[in-house]
Amino acid sequence: MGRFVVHRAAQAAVVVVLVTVVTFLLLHALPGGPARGILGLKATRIQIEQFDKANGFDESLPQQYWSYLVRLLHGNLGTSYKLNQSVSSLLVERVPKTLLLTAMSTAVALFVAVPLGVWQALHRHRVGDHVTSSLALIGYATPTFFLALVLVIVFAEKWPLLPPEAPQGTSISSLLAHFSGLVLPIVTGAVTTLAAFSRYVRSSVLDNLAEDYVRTARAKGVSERRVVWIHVLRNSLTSLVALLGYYLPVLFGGAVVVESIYNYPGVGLLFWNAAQQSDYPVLLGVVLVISVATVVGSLAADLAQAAIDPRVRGALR
Amino acid sequence: MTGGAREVGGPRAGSERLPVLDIAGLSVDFVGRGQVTHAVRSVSIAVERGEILALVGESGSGKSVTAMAAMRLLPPTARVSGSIRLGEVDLAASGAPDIRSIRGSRIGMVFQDPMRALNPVFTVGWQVAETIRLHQPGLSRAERTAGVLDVLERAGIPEPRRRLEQYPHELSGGLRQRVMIAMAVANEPELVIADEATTALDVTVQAEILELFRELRERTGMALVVITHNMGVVADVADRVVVMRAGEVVEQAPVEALFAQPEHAYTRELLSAVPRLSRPRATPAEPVRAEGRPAVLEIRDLAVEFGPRGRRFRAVDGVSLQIAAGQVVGLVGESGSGKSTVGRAAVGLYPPAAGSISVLGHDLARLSRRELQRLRRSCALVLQDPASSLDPRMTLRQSIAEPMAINGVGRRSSRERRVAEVLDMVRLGAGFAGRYPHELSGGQLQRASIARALVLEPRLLVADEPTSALDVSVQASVLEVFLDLQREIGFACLFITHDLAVVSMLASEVIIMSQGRVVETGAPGSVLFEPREEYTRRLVGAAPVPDPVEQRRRRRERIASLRP
Amino acid sequence: MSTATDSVYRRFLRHRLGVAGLAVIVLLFAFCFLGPVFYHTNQVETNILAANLAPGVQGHPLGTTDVGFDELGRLMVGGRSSLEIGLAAGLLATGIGTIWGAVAGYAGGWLDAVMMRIVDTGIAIPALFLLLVAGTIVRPTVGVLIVVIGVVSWLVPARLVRAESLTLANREYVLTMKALGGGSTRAIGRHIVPNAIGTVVVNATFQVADAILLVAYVSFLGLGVPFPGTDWGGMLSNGISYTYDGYWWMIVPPGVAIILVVFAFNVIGDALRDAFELRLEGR
Repeated sequence: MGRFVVHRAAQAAVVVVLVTVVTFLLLHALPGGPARGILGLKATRIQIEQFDKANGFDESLPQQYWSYLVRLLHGNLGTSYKLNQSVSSLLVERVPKTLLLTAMSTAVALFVAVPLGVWQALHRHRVGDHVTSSLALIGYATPTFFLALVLVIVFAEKWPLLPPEAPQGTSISSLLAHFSGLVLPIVTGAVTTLAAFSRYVRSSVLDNLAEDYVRTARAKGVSERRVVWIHVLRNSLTSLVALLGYYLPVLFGGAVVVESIYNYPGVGLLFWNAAQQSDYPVLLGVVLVISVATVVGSLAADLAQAAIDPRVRGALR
Repeated sequence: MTGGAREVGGPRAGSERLPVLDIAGLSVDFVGRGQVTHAVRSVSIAVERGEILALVGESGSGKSVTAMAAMRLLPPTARVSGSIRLGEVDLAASGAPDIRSIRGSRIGMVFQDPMRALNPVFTVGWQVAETIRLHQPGLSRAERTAGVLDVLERAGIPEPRRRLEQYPHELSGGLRQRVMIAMAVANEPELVIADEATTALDVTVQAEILELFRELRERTGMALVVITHNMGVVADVADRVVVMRAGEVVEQAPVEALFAQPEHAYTRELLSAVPRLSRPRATPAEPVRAEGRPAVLEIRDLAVEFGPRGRRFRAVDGVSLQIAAGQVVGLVGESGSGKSTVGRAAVGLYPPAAGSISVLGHDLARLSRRELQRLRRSCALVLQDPASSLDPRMTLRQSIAEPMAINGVGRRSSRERRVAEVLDMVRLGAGFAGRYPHELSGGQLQRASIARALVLEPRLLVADEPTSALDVSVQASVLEVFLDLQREIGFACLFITHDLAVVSMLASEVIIMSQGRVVETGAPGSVLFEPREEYTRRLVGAAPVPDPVEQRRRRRERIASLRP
Repeated sequence: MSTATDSVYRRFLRHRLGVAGLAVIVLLFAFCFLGPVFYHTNQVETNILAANLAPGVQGHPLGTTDVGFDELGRLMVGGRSSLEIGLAAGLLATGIGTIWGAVAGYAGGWLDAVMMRIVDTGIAIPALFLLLVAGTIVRPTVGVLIVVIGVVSWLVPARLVRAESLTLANREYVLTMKALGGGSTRAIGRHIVPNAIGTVVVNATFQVADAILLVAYVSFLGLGVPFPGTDWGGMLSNGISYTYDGYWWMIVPPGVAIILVVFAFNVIGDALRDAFELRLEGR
């Protein structure tokens, strides 16, 4: 197992380095170079030259990349000139909130998707399966912002049960204190995930039902229900964990949309506002942090899968 | 003891004289998309108490479908008629809960591929315990564990306590199959059905598993239905034999009678098609090795390694062999012996880690890319799996012409002519050129593979188990074609197989491999009949021969030799 | 055509939902590309005098937008960009991904490792984030959107095809071909890609569906096809600003159109997967 962890962690480290290369190159692909990108389009030549000198942007690219890496390692992600605040302090404030929202909507999605997928597989090709599968697919096909609109109209306007906007607290506990405001963002974020995962679970269960071990279980006298809920589901869940790792980028992407619609004070909203104002230090800082989070998340998912799947565990011992 | 839960001789005492399993007038049709396939047609079979019944037939004979029908494990597309009685219970008429209470408790089942038949994510202990828990719910946890340990031990699994926490992939193939058997017999059933239970195993392991079946029968008095295509297995274990073909029973007889005087023409055909381990009547064509001319293939001290750096392991170590023009050398070994690796290295698929490979006097390692390419024209490869030996998206014409296309030989019309020619040579006929692989049977596919191998008139042919996935009667005809062509064209051939009988028919020299090394080399007459090495002796002793009387004698000898 | 292709075709036709999905796609294409031939509207010049008209008023079957475009005509124009971008970007992504994955899986070793770390990197950076950054750098047009969306979407097909290529590379017909001296171009071009075609085709339909959704998101974030052009996502996010004015006709038609087309492509993908008798591959 140790060797596997080392190997997989090394792969992740390579990917993290590549991500920093991409963000570094993006910074240099900005129109007019990094200085104009950071100072804005109205900056004068002299301002730019001074800025370049002060920040080492007049050095060679490899040298600049090196100092960029060194700065990153010191936790320095640059400064937002628009917000007059360091990017890292912005992220420290915002990241936990996004994690909270994403974790809650993913949990809700999984909580519904797994039983639903299994139930669909058990009732395959019957009316209930067709109806729920179609509904899930419609959920998947609906753009999140459209769905959010419908939910707000129904649950906040027509029947004012829930607030149409997320709570604006600064701390996590203040967000949780106004939980009713989180319900619509959580549900909105959960629908796409729910649709994707219930589809996955359904087909995974069906695939597994064709395996020889299912025939063995039946030959032992195991009931059909137990075959699915115990024998098959345990196999399906191992791959689901790894899939969850692959799915992280989609989850974070969804956070941008959900947060900007409900005005939820997370990284997504920060990013969205930064994009509107061309606040590049924030944009690139967020891209870097979210990408690294994704890499670490997939690493964790792979290790978790290795821990619960005896075949992977054994093969790599 | 697990058996304590059921009173032996209680309610069923009155039915003591009934057969354990009585199948009468069984027919199974598969209905799908407006087509009806008759898989089994009015089959009647009775299995007596304590009897080992062999159900034999080739693929498509309906033998497995019959067994699955008895377990009521057929898919919903199957239409079953007739009666299936287990003692006093009519299985065909029972409801699902009744069937479930019978499966695993009164009938146990063992399947072919134990790796896939066991659930990969549960421990062995859990899986065996589940069978016991389902049918003896009253037992405490400790009693259940004791029961699992006991049955693992009865199935001949060493260190049963350690196995409890192991997963299927951590066990060898033989142990996995023993776990399957332990599961099948955990509740002391009256009947165990073993569906090709030893087919995926090596012969030495097969012999042990068959021994275990006999032992369990002796000890518990259970009846056993052995479904197999292997006449050697039949001769080894069966008391009585049922021969099936195309969904029908063609003959039923006690085992000695069946082998001594087969009544039905099909049985006779089947028996005569089985390759037998025989002393070569005449020595096959002596290698033509003119002085000074190099051997077609010469391998010296070959080692092949796999795996990433730091964790490399040697699959083949110190193997040397020589094949002259016109000679067939048989390379024999069990799974993991490295025999296939040697064959693939010989045609340049794996680079040697040590030693040398020379084809027609040229050391492969010393050749330039272009010279290697030219030399490759003289080599050909035929592999085992008929389902994957030809690209499913190409017609036979495209597949067979591919070697010519790769080497830029001929033009379109001459290639077509050559394809037609080789298709004739393998007795398929030019009419097959336009067909796709899925339209062909296994035997036809392997002939097409041979045709592709011959298209460039190779000097060396490596055949890796080319017939072992085929039914015996098909195997016989493919081997015949192969032998005729070999004599006619005179290519040198490395014939890789696990089947000693096949080797004795073809080869003028036999090489026995085990664990990457050569164990013994020599003429088949001496290696297979007077083996010098202990391993060869065990290998030869374990291969069952299709003759119950002879097999009984061999078995006694083998067991005697294993006990010091 | 081969009989294998025939039977895929037959199995697809047996899939009722899949056939219905195909019919929906055909109708939507006809609506967007042939519709303007029969139903002329001015989708370039604004007309404030005829803004925000309800359906049916002044001969506008679906009403007009906030700047006076005919909604039905706009639906055709917007659909054209959505379908063009979705289809082209989806196919581009599948094309790149197929070649990348086939080569990586067949080559194995260090080349595979390098190629797959690049894929990992691309996957780690969420596409929407990359698109937002890209949108601040380049001015979006239909062509730019095709390339940008195609370039951020090829990673998943690359992974899928690589997995397939890994197994196909060990098939006996590939080994036999290698033994005969066949090169890697031949192995990949003649054997691996054709045999992975099921995975590729099925994935392509899902890619197109996802690309159409992605276009909608990009438009919602203000980086879609520039005015006076539009796409369904742009129409939808534009209409959303008028939610509280009750102008439902600016929201419902593009919303339903997006759901319908994405739903239809997914259903076709499912039917194709059954027709190719593929097992689930991470989706």
